[in-house]
Amino acid sequence: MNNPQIPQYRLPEGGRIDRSRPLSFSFNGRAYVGYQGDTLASALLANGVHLIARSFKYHRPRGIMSAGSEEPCAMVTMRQGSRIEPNIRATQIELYEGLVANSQNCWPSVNFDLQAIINKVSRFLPSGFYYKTFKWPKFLWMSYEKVIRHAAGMGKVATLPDPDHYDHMHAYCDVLVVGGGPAGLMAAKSAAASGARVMLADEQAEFGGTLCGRAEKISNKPAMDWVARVRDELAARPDVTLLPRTVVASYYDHNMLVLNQRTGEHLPTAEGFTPRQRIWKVWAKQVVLATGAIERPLVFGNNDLPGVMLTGAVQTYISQYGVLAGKNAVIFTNNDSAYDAAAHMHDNGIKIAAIIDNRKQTSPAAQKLSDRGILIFNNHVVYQAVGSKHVRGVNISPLNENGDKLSGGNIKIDCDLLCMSGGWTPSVHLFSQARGKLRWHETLTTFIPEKSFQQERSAGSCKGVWGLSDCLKGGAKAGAEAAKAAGFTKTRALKTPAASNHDMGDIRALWRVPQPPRSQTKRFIDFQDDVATSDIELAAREGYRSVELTKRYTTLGMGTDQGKTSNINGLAVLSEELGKHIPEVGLTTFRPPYTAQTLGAISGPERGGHFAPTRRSPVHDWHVSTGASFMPAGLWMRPAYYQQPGETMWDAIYRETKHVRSHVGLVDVSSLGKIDLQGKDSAEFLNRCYINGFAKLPVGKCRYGVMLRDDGMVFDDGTVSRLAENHFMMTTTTAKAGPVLQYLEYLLDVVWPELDVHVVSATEQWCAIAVAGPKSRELLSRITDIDMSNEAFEFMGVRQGNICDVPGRIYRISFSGELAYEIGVPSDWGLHVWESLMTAGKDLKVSPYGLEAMSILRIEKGHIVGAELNGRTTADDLGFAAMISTRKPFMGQRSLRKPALLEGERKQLVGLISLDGKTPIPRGAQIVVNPDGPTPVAMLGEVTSNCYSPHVENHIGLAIVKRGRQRIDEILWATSPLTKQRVRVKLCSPHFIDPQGERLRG
Amino acid sequence: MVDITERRSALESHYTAGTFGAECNGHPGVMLAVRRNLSIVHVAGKPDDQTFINAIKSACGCDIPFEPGSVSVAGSLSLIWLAADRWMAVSAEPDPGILEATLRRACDDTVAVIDASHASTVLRLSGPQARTVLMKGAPLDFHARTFTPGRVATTMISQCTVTLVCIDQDTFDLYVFRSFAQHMWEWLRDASEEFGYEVSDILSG
Amino acid sequence: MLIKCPWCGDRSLAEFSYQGDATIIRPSDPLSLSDNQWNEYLNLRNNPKGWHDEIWQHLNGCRKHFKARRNVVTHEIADTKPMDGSLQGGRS
Repeated sequence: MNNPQIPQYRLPEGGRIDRSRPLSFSFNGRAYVGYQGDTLASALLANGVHLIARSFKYHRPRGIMSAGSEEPCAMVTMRQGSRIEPNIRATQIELYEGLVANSQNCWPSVNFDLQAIINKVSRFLPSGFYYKTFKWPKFLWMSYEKVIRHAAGMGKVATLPDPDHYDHMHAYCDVLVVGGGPAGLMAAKSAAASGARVMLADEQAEFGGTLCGRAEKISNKPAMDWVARVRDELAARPDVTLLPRTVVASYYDHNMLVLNQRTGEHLPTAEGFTPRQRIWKVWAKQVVLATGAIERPLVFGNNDLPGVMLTGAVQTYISQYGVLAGKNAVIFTNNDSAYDAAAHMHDNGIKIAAIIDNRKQTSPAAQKLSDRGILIFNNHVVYQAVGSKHVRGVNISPLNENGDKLSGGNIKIDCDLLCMSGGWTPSVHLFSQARGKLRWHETLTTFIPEKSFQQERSAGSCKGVWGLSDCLKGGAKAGAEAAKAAGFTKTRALKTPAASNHDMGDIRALWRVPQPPRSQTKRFIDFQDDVATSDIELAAREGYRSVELTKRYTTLGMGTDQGKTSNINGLAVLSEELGKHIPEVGLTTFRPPYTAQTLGAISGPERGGHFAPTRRSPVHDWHVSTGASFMPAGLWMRPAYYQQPGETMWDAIYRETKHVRSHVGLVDVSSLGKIDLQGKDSAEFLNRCYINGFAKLPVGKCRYGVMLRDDGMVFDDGTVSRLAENHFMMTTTTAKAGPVLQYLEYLLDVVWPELDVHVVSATEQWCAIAVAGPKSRELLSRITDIDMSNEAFEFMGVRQGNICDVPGRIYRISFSGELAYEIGVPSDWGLHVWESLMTAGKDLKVSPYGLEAMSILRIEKGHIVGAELNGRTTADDLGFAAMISTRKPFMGQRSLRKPALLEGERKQLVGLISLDGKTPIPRGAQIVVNPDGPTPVAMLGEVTSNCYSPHVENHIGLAIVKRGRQRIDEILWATSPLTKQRVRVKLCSPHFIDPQGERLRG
Repeated sequence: MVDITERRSALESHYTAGTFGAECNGHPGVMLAVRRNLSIVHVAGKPDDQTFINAIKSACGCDIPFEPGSVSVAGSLSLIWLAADRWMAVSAEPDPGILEATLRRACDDTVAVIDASHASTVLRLSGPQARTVLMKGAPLDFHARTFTPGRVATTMISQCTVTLVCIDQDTFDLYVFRSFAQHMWEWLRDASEEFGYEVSDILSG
Repeated sequence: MLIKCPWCGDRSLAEFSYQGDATIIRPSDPLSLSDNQWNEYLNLRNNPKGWHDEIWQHLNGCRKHFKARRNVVTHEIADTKPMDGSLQGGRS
């Protein structure tokens, strides 16, 4: 044998495949050969492989039904290892060398699936079965769940990190054309001719849409010649962007659409640095929807057998891929489109055993087929397909007068391919996502666009236009209109080339093919979700009236195909059951996306370390080089502690804490928010923002301030320094840096626009280093020309001068409760200053400390942070009542008189100390009188901060406790039922160290 | 002693010159660089205040660009629109104190003059694919007829606020907050990979 | 969504931050208000179906606040103006 692998269903010539480039691939572990240009589906069909999958619920054998993104059955798991990806439609997978695909939802194999037993007991699994198990019998639910979860479902997701990368792109254009078929190409050509910026997206690898899979002619030449010419013309225009392999998934407000471009999916692995997929967000002034139409299945018994296919798909396999889906076909139709298809198949060597047409009259389109001697049965239906894993034949029968029953006289016809055509459904998904209104069209038996809501228009078969010539003309017109609406006024529709113009004739609706009496054979509507006519009938019997509820109850149209082939059939069956007209029942809502999107594409580059930005201080590199352990603080990455050899984490933290109290430490506080205020009303503005006064703050001094929201709750705290008469520097907490700036901007733009104040964030300009401890003054006096003496530079003073030879500022403020200063130097010099401090203070044993030590120091001092500033505490709750000015208005002032803020039961800030001197106080614990009392135990408050204090040599904490200040010295419980921890605590002042402030003033 | 005109860029320890990404046969799609030692001073004032307008003109040698998104240039100094009442003066003067002092002297105290030279890291992005890289990051229209040389826009790239200045058809400056610089640099490198990119030496000024 | 900043022009929603109801004016002398009046200002908001005047900030752009008349059902934006401008259009 010279070439044993020539697939037996491949035509010797024709199609858009490249026979000089054979590709080997594997399906379910078996090797096959296809060609460049194949899809996995076409390559499998060429090899005679029809059994692709097992169905979702019943594990029935399923094959390939379509040739596009509407495919409900042929879903496979692609690739292996970390690139494994389940539930991919074989009809959309472009073949590449070495492709590996496997069937899913079957065990041990797709050919012999043990769970197919479910099909035999399917009458015990009606629609809503899952919900019904919730109700009765209750005790069985736990065992049902495991079984259902195992048996139902689809492929399994990858558990390893995805090695590929995904990209995002933003684009603006005048006209976005969705769909590169005849209407879309003509629309793009017309719009581009006007000079508009045009984007043309099509989900296939090749432009042409339906033309790729038909034997159509345009200008008496093969239609694909015309497609190639138009594509090349468009590609040559600088303002046209062509996006093949790109599905327009979602249509959002203001003409923003989201596209998914499969940049690397057709390659063995995305080559070099090409992303695997790219998401485009496109803002289009105008949109032309040329999304085509999808053929509907017919609903007869066993219509899900492999070998039962949509008629148009069989044509596509011939013309696009040179593949015969079978050799002996029966065609079952209710419209004329199947007659063109039959001729097309016949021309390519498929024997047409019979055409079964439910319409009473012979269509004129049938003539040329009967001329060829093909049997045509009018007023007949295929009521059942026959076969186990592949169709072997059909049972046909004439219809009675009303068309709702079989009238006997069955005939069996052998075949290996059953083509069905139940009419065509315009793809109105994007139109509907854009909130366009649809209209039911009686003769087309489908919904078509009626009224657009956004700046879009439909062209071609997605608006129910079937003839090729009409589609071309409609496209030209829509393209020109779109360009005109986008502002290109001298635009007109281009002349369109000559083409055929076949329509579908009169469709005779046939929503359910009648069955012989007592037949149990399933007629599927939604193939992916295994929803059959019986499920919808049951739902109607059980009282479901709304299409939206029926959808959820039966899972009709809820699969990854979003019911592209099933929605109209399902709706029609429900309408018949309810005795209503289809438009009265209405459609379910179309929601984005049109086809399933991968999480990788959605997250794009925002994953791993780039999931969110990381902010780093100017000293960050030093922290890294000294082995600091980091912790996130918002977006910032800040040193938590600096572990030395032989130390545990806690050793390091307590050493750093004690070192600050005994010697001197440095902590990087660059992340604290800093806001620069200038303008002649700056002092007045600060007066209105803080509860305390700033008008009389002298130049060269700073002051602690508390800011309220207008509802009276504390918003943030910080210091304000007066650098000049009309120049202030405000600090905020790290977390509130952004919100406080935004709040100040709001007040200046919206509330007090008359004030002359400019606020600018200065956080990034300044590297901030806190120098704390009894030796801090000595250290600083070595590196600055500022007079550091206690007399010249008092507590809460601010000085500007040279620091380590660079211009900077020193603020004498303390968060730790020790003698302390905060240095501010421009950021590019921050590392230099930090390193200089470390060098200059070597003999003073200067040492860095991290956030953990800083937190202990501030708890010991009773300073509050975000845990206490939690949006539910007032200034009085936190002990700042004395700061509240009565001589000026300020934000939040009026709310302080609200009854709820005046009542005596409010929770107040107190300190806690562990009574036994050794049991830690659990974080977030509740403060109660008796944790063993009757439940619910009355909760007096909660622990907001907790630590072991090296200074107190005991576990301490801060808490917000009901009437806390009156409870000092009371002994209560801090209990955390969640972690099963509890401790007896004594309430005390929150100032555990130096309550008089002698250390920081010394 | 430290030479205060030699400032440490936020990217100092992450910066490696060379050619990276996809093979580009000596024609990288994108060139990346960091511009160091710039003076950047924010000026905020009332756009209808003639004293302010005159003061800026005398200090900068150019008119205030009032049109949103525009830039005025006088020699090595650019005056960049940031908001209806805010501009950014940028010069290659390495000691930022000089530009700040010049502007401070020229303006009265209804005008805010704020040194922000250390607040931003300035990245230069150029090359035939520079616009494509920007399109990956920012929801802005970067068409060559829309975002033209001399235009500025503040927007978001990879969750960071960025002020983009179009220098010439294929060259852009990105003003990024200093603490975000490394994140943005890594993002730019990732986004440029598929075109092949070159990192040049640090640009002083 | 695209929102037209009165200065920067049409920009993506991602750059903006919603800042509340533009029809609410903060009282100039809160202390003169009764508890009920203050409650009304602080907490009570209309939730109209259809056109609504709103305050937005071009947060990741020029940072200015401005007013927008937006239809909260359809998301159409009829007009945007600086804070001292008056909004036009919209079928209110």
